[in-house]
Amino acid sequence: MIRVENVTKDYTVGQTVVHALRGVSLSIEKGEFMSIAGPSGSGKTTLLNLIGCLDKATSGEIYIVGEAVSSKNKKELALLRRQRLGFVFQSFNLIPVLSAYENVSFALSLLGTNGSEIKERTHGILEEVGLKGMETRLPGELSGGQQQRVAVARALIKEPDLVLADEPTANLDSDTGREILDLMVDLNKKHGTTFVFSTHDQMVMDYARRLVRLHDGEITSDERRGS
Amino acid sequence: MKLAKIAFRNIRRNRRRSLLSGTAIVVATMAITFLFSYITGFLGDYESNVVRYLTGHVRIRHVGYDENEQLNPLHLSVANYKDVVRKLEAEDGVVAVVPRTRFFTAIYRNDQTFGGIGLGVDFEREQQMMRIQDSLVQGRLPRSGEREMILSAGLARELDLEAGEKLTLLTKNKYMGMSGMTFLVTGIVRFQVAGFNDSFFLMPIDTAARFLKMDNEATEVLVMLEDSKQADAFVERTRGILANLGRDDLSVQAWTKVGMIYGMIRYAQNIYDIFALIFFLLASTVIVNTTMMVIYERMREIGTVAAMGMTPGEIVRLFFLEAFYIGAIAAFIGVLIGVAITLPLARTGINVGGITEGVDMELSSVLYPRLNIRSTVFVFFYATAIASLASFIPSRRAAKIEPVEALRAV
Amino acid sequence: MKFLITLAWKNLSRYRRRTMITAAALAVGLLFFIFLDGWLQGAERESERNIIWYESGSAKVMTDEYLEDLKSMPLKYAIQDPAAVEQALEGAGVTTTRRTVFAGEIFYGEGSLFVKVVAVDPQTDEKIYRLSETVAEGRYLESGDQGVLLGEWLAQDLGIEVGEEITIRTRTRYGAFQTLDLIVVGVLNTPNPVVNKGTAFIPLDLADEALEMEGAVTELTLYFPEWRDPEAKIQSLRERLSVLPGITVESWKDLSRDFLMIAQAKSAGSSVLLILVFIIAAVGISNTMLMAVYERVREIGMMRAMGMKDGAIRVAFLFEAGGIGLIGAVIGVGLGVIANWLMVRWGIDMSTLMGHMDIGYRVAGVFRSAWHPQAIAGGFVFGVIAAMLFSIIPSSRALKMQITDCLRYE
Repeated sequence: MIRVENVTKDYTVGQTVVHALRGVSLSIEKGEFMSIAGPSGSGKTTLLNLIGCLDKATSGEIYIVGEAVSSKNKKELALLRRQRLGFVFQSFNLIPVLSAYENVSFALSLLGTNGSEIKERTHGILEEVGLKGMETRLPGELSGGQQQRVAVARALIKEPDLVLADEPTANLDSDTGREILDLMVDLNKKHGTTFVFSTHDQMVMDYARRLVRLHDGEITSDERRGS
Repeated sequence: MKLAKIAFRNIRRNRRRSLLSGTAIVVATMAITFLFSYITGFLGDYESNVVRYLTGHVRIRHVGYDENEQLNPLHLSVANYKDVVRKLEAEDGVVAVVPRTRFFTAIYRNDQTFGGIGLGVDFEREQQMMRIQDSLVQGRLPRSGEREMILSAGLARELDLEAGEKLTLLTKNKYMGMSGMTFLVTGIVRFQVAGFNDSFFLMPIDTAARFLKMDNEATEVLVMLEDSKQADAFVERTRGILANLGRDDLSVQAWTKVGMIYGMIRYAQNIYDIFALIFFLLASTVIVNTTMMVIYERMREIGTVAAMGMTPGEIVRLFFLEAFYIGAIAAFIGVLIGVAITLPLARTGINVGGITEGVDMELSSVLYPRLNIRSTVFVFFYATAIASLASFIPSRRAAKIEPVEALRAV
Repeated sequence: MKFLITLAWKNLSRYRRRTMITAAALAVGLLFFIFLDGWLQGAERESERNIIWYESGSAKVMTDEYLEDLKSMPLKYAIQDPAAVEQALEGAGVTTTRRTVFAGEIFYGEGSLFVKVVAVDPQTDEKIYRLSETVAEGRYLESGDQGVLLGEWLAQDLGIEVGEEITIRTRTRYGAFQTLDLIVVGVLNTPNPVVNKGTAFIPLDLADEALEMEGAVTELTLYFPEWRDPEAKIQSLRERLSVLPGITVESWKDLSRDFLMIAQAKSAGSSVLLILVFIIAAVGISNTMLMAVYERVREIGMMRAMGMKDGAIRVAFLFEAGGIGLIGAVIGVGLGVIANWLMVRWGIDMSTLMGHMDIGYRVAGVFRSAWHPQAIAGGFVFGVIAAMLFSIIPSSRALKMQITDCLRYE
């Protein structure tokens, strides 16, 4: 479903050129629960950003459900993200002025879904992530774990082809982190949504069914494990 | 939905800042609303005075009169004016047609000489035009055909005359000879235009005709129309009518073409429009700064919504809407305050008497600022438009933001 | 101290765009102020000059009764013994000249026109008035002439040329009619509209004979170097003249009341405008300083935690705001000075717009600005100080917070 073909990413910091990715290729199938792991500076966030169409590769090509993304302009990429991708961030990144319900439903309203359907699906997904009764709370009134649940709901509500999570448990204590991961495993099983994480946390790596290790911009290993 | 709702919520998010942003526009709009109302009153007053006292909406004179206007050429007059008046009165859209005979004279009294401007008028017809009866402060109006006159208040004071007393005038008549007549002052009139009060005196036009040896002649015939914008059309019609009567000795002019008056009014309005533009631009600088700040502050949010699939255009619109709402609400409040300031003044008027006395313009001593569509609705849209346009520039920069960079922001 | 200045400067450069926009608003305000002020000053000074050089000199001596009826120019209240006045004023540091002013009716072409006629002594008049320098056509008067000088607008309006003959009719001191047949020897183009429009000049000896004055004159015009602030001088002159009963002296200021009122009104009007502009600029600066402080609350907390005194932080912000004020003031004053220089050098020709209108200011045609260093310096200082003032409240706010709260601030 997702194909990364010989992708490199360079960027300049001051006078020096940093080769964040040096020819990475991989393919991701539907329903995978995959983790991209590696130390700081290994390029895992960069790779995630490229797959997430938030950034452009220096060379190589990425195919999202058959569509090549290197030739797309900003608007086209935005629309692509809107329809096919969901994001969960390390710092939750909820919109502070919107309630939990509104943060989640926002994703659907971007798609132009009609009012009653939005209502139904939003309540549904919020219940699924265990936030029933918290719909009207603002992010400021929610704990870290609750905020992340909202973020997950937001990512999932549009039934994306792929959910990308960049260190989703980094700002949570280990118990809450585990809860979130359990949630995501659950949703992966139930809805068959593909999950790709980037992490350097061993606990997260243990949850993954497929582990891709990156080091200095190159893939060093790619294991599949049953779970 | 949502963009508008989010924009509103963001405005309320940092109330103090939003308030401060808008304050400049409130101040500017309030000032401009008042200013424009003042100008409207001012220009309206000027226009009204010019029309009523000097030119009417359409003026008919002898072809040679204008050129020699300063010399008061009584022989270059509108002959058979009664015919002309009757013919024009019958036309549609006419409020009044008045004949006038204007002459300058020196009044000699108590061994002193005073300058005076005499106006022979048809008092009945002038009820609609100069509305002399409204300005009468003492006595009564003269009767047609009688040797009676009324003095303007200032002139009466200088001559030390009151109603009931007599005044003898010696003046140059149509044949450049001297005519003398003694008049009974039947009343005193106080004009609202300060300048007229010191020099005018009025008498029945037929008396003036006898006095100046003008037989069925007037120096001008003025027409007041229901709709001032019809002046040009009426001029055409009048020219036609006069041509039919074979009156090629007469010239017809719309008030907008007489002298510099109309040109000045237009010019003044343009100047004040530019003034308003500068004011609004100044006030908009505050919103521009705030918008820039806001975009910077919400970098991470921008990254997030971009990741969620909001297009650059939509992101721009989000910030633009925020600035737009602040601008529009501020402009609205500004207009309201401006109206609140203007209303009481519109009723009591502003006394500009001291200034207008020494000045050559036909301005009343008391000016009433007037609220109208221009000073309210137009000002609102003008201010909002400028504020919006100004805030468009920083908003547009939001489109250039790279989601990756934005997400990295703190 | 140096550290604080550098800190302020660095912060300003960090947010270059925001600083420039805020400074721009202040700059525009100052530009306006200087331009408007220069214009008004220019018009006022020019008017003053023109009144003194062409209308009233520094002061006029006349009889009490004449002063009371000034407008009607009563010959019967003339100064009987001008020589006695001149004697009383000897050694007082004034130059004097005799003039007689009266109303006359000019007969020419198709009619007649009332004007003010001023009879001057061609020898002594030049010591006080500059009329002789303004001869546009023909020549100045000489004693013994049977001639007249006309203001240019007057000549143009009537179509009179040098060399033509006109008749002036008036009354003598004793009320008898008198006609003067005069040749137009010259046309004067003065910068003073009042003179250009309605004044004719004849030699004093001619007037003396024609009006049966027998040596009396209606006024003596004085010049003294202290004319700018004449009050003290007038006092001392009054004391000198107290030996002559019924004689008084009035300064040019009292004689041109109408002009002064207009000047005041214009100043008042423009003051209001400028206050508004400054309010807007003030809002802009406040807004910017608020943003500056609040986005750096953490920085401030850190600085305080590291031991920087509150006072020092306040001063840092004072400098920052002062920096914005300085930039705005430099630009504003710079542009203002350029604009003013252009106006001083070339001015704006309003003659096409105003024609031969009289708006109170004694300026004909080209309006020039004047240099008003106090306003320029004052505006500059005010801009910088006002900007600094607006940093006080925001920085005080931030300093009231607990240091730990500062550090935690989001």
